[in-house]
Amino acid sequence: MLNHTKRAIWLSLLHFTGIIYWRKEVGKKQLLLRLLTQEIGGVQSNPSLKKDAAKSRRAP
Amino acid sequence: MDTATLQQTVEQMSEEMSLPRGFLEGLLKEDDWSFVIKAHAFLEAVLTNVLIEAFQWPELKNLLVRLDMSDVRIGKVKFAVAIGIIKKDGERFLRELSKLRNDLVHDIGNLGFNFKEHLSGLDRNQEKAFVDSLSYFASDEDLKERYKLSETSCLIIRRGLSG
Repeated sequence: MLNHTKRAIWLSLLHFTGIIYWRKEVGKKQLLLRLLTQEIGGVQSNPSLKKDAAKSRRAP
Repeated sequence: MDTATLQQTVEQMSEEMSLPRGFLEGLLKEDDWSFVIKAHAFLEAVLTNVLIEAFQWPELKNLLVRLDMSDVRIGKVKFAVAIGIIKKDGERFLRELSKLRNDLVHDIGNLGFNFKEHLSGLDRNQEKAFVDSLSYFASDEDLKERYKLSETSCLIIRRGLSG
C-alpha cells in the first residue's frame, strides 16, 4: 500500500531541494550587494578612506 | 521553477554530494524510521552545501557543518532565512521534520516508528500542523505536473497524511 505520508514528505523534499538551489543565486546576489553597500558606506563615513578613495579616483 | 530545471538541479545536487545513484528514489523503499533519518540528513547536507556556496567563503565550511540544523537562534535554517534562501513555508517544513527526527533518534524505543501510529497519537491541532508543514510540496504546480498529481491526488496525499 502506498504510504501517503512518506510520499508527501518525499515530494516536499524534492520541491525544497529544487527551490533552494534556485534561490541560492538570489542569496548570493543579496549578500554581494550588502557587502558592496557596506564598503561604499564605510568609505563615505571614514574621512581618511574618503581621501584615499578620492586620490585613487584621480590616479591615471 | 519548471520541471526540467527542477529535475536538473536535483540531479546536479545529488552528484555534487556524491550520493549513490538512485538514492532519492530508494528513500521511498525505506522503513519509516530510516526514511525520516535519511531524508533529514539529506536536507541538512543540501542546506549546508547551499550556505557554503552562498557565502562564497570556504573557510566557513567547518563552522557551518557543525551548526545545528534547526536551532531557533543560530541554526542553519536561521542563516538560510536571513539571506532569503528559505521562506516561511520552507522553514516550517524543515522544523517539523527536524522535530520528528530528533524525537526518533533520541529514544531507541522509536526504532519501530511508523507514520500511521504517529498520526493516530496526535491531537487535532498537532495533526493540522504536521499535515500543513510536511505537505509543503503542494504549492509547486510543476512538481504536481511532473508526478501527474491532480488536485484530487494531492488531496488524497494530504488526507493520507492525516491518517
